[in-house]
Amino acid sequence: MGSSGAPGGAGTSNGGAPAAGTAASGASYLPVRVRRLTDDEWRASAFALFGVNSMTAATFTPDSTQTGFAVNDGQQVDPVLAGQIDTAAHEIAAGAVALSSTAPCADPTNGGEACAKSFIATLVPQAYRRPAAQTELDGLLVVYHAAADGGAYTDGIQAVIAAVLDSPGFIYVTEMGSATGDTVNLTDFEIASELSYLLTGNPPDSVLNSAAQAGQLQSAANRQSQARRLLKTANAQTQLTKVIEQWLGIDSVAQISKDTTAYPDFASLNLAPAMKAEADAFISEVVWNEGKGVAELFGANWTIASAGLASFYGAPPPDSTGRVSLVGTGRTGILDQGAFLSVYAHASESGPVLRGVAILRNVACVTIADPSSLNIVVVPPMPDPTKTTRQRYAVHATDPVCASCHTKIDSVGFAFENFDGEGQLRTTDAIPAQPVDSTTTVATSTADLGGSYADSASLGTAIANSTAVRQCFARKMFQYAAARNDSDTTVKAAEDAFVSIWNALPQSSQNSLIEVLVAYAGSPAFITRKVVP
Amino acid sequence: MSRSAERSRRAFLRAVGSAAIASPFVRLLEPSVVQADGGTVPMNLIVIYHPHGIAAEYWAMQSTDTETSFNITYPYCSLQPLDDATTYGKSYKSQILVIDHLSNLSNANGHSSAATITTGSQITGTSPALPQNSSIDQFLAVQSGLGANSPVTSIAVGVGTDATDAGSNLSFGPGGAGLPKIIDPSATFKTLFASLASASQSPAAVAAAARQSAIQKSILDFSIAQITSLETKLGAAQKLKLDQHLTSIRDLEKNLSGMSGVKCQAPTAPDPTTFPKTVRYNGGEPYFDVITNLQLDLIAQAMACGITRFATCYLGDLSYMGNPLNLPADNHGSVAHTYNASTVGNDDHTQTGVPATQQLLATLNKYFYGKLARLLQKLDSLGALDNTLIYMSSDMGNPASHSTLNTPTVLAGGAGGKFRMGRRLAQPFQCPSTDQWCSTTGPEYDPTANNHLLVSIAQAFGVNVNKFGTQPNPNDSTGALSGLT
Repeated sequence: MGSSGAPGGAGTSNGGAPAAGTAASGASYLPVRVRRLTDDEWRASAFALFGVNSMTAATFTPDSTQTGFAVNDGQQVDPVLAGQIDTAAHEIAAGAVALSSTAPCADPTNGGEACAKSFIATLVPQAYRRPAAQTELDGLLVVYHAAADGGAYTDGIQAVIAAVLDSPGFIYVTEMGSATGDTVNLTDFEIASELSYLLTGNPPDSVLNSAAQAGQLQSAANRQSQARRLLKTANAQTQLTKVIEQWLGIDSVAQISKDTTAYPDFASLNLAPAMKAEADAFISEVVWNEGKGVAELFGANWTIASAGLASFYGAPPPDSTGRVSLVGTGRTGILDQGAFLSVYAHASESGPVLRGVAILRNVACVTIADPSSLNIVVVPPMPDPTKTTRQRYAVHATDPVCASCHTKIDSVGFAFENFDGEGQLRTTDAIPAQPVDSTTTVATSTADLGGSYADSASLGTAIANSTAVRQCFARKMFQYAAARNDSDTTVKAAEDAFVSIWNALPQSSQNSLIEVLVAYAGSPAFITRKVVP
Repeated sequence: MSRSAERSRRAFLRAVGSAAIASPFVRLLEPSVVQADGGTVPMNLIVIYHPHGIAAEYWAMQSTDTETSFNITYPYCSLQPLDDATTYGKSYKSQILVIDHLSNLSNANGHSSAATITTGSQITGTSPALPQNSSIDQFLAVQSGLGANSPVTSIAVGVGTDATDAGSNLSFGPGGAGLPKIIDPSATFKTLFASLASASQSPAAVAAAARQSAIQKSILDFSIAQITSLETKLGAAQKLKLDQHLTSIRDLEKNLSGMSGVKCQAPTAPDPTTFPKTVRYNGGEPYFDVITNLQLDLIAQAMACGITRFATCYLGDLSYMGNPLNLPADNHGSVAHTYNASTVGNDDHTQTGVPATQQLLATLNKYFYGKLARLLQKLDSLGALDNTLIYMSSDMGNPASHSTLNTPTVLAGGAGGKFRMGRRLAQPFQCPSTDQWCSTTGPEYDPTANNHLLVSIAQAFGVNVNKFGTQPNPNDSTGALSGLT
């Protein structure tokens, strides 16, 4: 009844994706697309061009995430962000023209246009990370004249810079190739951008640009050696530390707060920033300084924490290198660190379901259905100070509707019950105090984590040694690299194809962040896309 | 002059203020306020979200209430600010239409269900959770083109959180893509009034501003040409993304030229020292009250000036030590979760309840309806209340059970005469009284979805749809809500 065009009408569904597309070769390729730079990528890319920061860019509206990752297909330029980008572009343009090094011109009065043309011809390939199209050069000259005519040469240059930073060529990373047909090869310049943003969160450097210019990046060996070079940079360390934190969901630790009655320490001891710093330093140390992988991430009996956080953990103070021994503290690996324990907890109590679901979904890649997909209305257990959190959540096991999922979820989550909602070790819960119970038996059907555990420290050791967890890690790194909606069957097929590649790696490489990413960079899937209508 | 045009003229004069009336060119531009829309004043829409559901004990219709005769001033009644002439200048009881027992059928945890208020969509996914179609403000302003003639097509603001997932946001584009909101009142001011500020400047300054506009137009045109060219090379899904970009750039461009048709006095810019922090969990909470007032004032002012007609506002709560309501610092854990409902607040499931816990929540609720009363007063003072419709709701009914059934629904404002205000209506509960625990999969289970209200709102704006939102049962998303007109 006249409902065409109304939301929810025909054609607005995201469902009904075509079956996994497989090329004649049997390989599964991701669809062509444009991807908007994340806020961090936009800032880094603009800074790389002019060395100028912008106040507005520092507080861009946050990126939406997909499966926890900021780099993804869902980013778009909506009205709020468009306004912010435009303001930031003007701020940077004003800062850039204030520098004598930007677009110098010996005789701006008579030779302004020639200087502008030369500036545009240099700027566009850097900003767009590919050769410029003539229409783009012409278009920017129009912008130059709009501002320089009736104004000054620098007005024109300033407008050109703002126009470039505002424009799709700068804002989007393309994965479109240059040819036509069902499958396309990315251009060398597209490959350079893919590689660089993936590994460093920054635009391609001059070495990578030269390799693209020379047409060297269609070669797997060349891509892998470039990847290894980039992975040694400080930018790679910053970027991939962030990616690991996004994978585990602990990047949000700086944005949480706790009930000040239940956990006065959390704010007064400034624990959230200390926990974020711990995660940053620990991940960097494991991956770059130790050259170790997933096993150490989940199984380390040490961390790098501030003196305050070490004391909060009941651990000895940090040694001269900043390391803190966790032996005897009841903690093993990153899942027993403050960031994970406090992010996955409620404001005034621990969160066995949050912790269990996070580990099963993100760490073990066990599918846990969303309650809404099962038509279940989530009713949190009523607060009851006389019961421990575990006793209250035990209701799940008694209700058969809940038990089908919660037996799995809670068996993992209860292992962490010896840590409270802000991540502090505890022996009692409830009023009057009752001993906490962190013993658990994980069913054998739960990835390869089946067994009985005294607490999360012993579960952590099992996670560190798990093959399923290593494979899950590979899937998560693919999801980060692909930066797509992983519920799409085409993307799922590409992910499975990557797992086959990963399976063929030596076991020591399977465990390594660096080797997993290098393997993906070297695969045909990295440089091939399929055309979708 | 028609009655509505006269009303608009008065609204305009009050909105521009005396200083602007003295300006010689105001008179020439005055008719721009009454847009070429058959002489009627275009209607504004504001959708407001408040957190933590309601204590229905102090919100729902009382046994002695009727449709047109009802009491909202009894102790702890959270709707009391709407009938409080002492605090808000006059009673706005005749400007509200309160509906009991509408349900936001999100099929998701209550915490992920704010989006259902504006979209009528089930929520899908967890990372992030999102609705599946656009929100009513975007549907009307962008897809139906009703925002096209205003300098700012639509605006989404909020308090405390700029996240865009279904639980934290109200405005969504086609397909349910989250559209960010502005949580800094200074940015709201800039978006709505920045281009206006130059109107009272010297001729030289006006010329300089015109030159800047021309430069800016060339900059934006350059982007538009590139987007258009890219679109020809990509498939439908990618084109959706670029279409949104194009809409955004065109909005910026419209802001450049469109503002010249509005000669309204810009309100005073917000003083950022009054809200040194804006973000939840990062020290922003003590400033939420100030931010809420500023955001709603700016929307009211912009609507009175005809700068925008469509706004959403996502409110944040007052969780901090020493908050003025003397509530526990953790409103979520210690007010909403501890709410122990009686039967009326428990989705009509028999329960005794604990009044003390209900009163805590009612106190928090009353604070938020006070903000609505304040907004009504502001719109009224600017002459913009008659042609504005406000829809205020929450993501939950009973917050302790995270129920998305029986969510609070308050319509307010004159609504351009499209809805009969000054009334209370009650839909039936989701189950018949003879079978309060009826199965959600059985034939008796029949919650009244807020989708019907969204259909009614779209129709009130002259958009002829009979279906709104995404629900598995088409009956839930089809047809207007009865009794409103």
